[in-house]
Amino acid sequence: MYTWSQFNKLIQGGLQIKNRLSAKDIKNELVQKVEELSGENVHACYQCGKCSAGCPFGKAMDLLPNQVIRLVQLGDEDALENNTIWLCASCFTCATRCPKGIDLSKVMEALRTILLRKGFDKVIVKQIDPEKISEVPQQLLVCGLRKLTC
Amino acid sequence: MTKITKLLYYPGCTLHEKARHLDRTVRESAKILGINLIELSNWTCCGAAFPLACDNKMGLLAPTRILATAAKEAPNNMNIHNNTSDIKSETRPEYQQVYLTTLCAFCYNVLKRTNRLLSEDEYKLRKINEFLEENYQLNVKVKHFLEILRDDYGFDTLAGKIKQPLSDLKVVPYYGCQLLRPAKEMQLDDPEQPSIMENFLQSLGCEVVDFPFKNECCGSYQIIDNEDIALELSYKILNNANKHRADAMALSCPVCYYNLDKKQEQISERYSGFKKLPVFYFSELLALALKMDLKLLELSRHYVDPMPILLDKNFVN
Repeated sequence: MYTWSQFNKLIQGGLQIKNRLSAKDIKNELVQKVEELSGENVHACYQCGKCSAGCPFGKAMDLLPNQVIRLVQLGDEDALENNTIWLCASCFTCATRCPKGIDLSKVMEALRTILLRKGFDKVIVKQIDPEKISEVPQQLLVCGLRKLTC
Repeated sequence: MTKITKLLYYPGCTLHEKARHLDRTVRESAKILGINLIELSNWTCCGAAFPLACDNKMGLLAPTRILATAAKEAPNNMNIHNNTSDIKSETRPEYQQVYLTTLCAFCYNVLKRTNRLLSEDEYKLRKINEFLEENYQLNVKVKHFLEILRDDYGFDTLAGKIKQPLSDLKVVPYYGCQLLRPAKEMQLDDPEQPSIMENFLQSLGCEVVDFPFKNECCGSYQIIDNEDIALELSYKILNNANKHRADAMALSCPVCYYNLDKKQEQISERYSGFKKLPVFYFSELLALALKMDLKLLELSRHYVDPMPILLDKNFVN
């Protein structure tokens, strides 16, 4: 990563930036799988960032929701390796506000689903404090475990 | 507007136990209003999370079974609404609409979205019907109890039934996420500027306090795995309600209730200067306004004791 001033110096020094994007990369297996599972067209996103601005969990995420979408657009597997997809609690704030009508909660669910179907568990049930289990409303537990365990 | 006297009711997993006071107060208040809530005799968990992955038919089985049961259990003369249908009744006039009411925001979300998805996807409807050996024909309309009060009973009629207006009680309405969104499918109210809870509270005589966090997420199930962030979200909501000088908060979801009432214990340990705020289910305020027996209200189930404010305003003796 460069800072803006470093970047400017590089450009002034005659650096040519080559960024190659091929259709093959853009429509790789990950993109296809996400689009199939979510039913959403991730390429509709023009990175306005409205989803990230309104996301209640944004502060704790290591990638903002719009950055995850960008990675998916580029077919980058890093879209699966972040806490963002697990912090999304499907509150649909982003889906309500997206000017391009993308339901991001479906995209996040698709990314979670890819990992969950490989047998990945975000939460180990046995490690949850039994006191907490007996205290929380049943529906909270059911919902949480359906989202976070395979 | 058809007069409703009987309503099929789906409580869901939490309402018989952890959120018993929500269930009780609605049943008893409804009785006073002349509506008899009839619980489905044979119900299961709805799944609590609507399956967002397109190929996840498994997640649709439980809610579809509940909808099919509701269709079967509705007696012929009960809450039939020929004119107020929106799901395929135009193309299938032989199937009359039956109301199924819910109180929990999660159940409402799951059942309503499932119903909508099935109405748009004949293949899935056929497939799931075959698997469940049911013949569900989309003739159930899922309605939240607040929606029944607004659209079928009428908030004006409700205001006329109030025995003890809760005047001077400054209440912030809190919607959370599942009740309103995704608005295209839920169609309960405007997702950013909702008014159903405000109008309901006004009909009880409350002074409604507008606050910007009414449709923010409370942290939901993240309390299991990411307690810090969930507590912070709940703190922000409660703190903002306090800044607006609210006496209490009204909501309808057992998850929000847990995060915003019970978790005030941890929030007050963590954030100095935090002032505890009583949190009510909307129906508890309704029950108070209808002067229901205090024993039925079970106010002792609250973590933040609501008695001081109720005594202060002379709503209880």
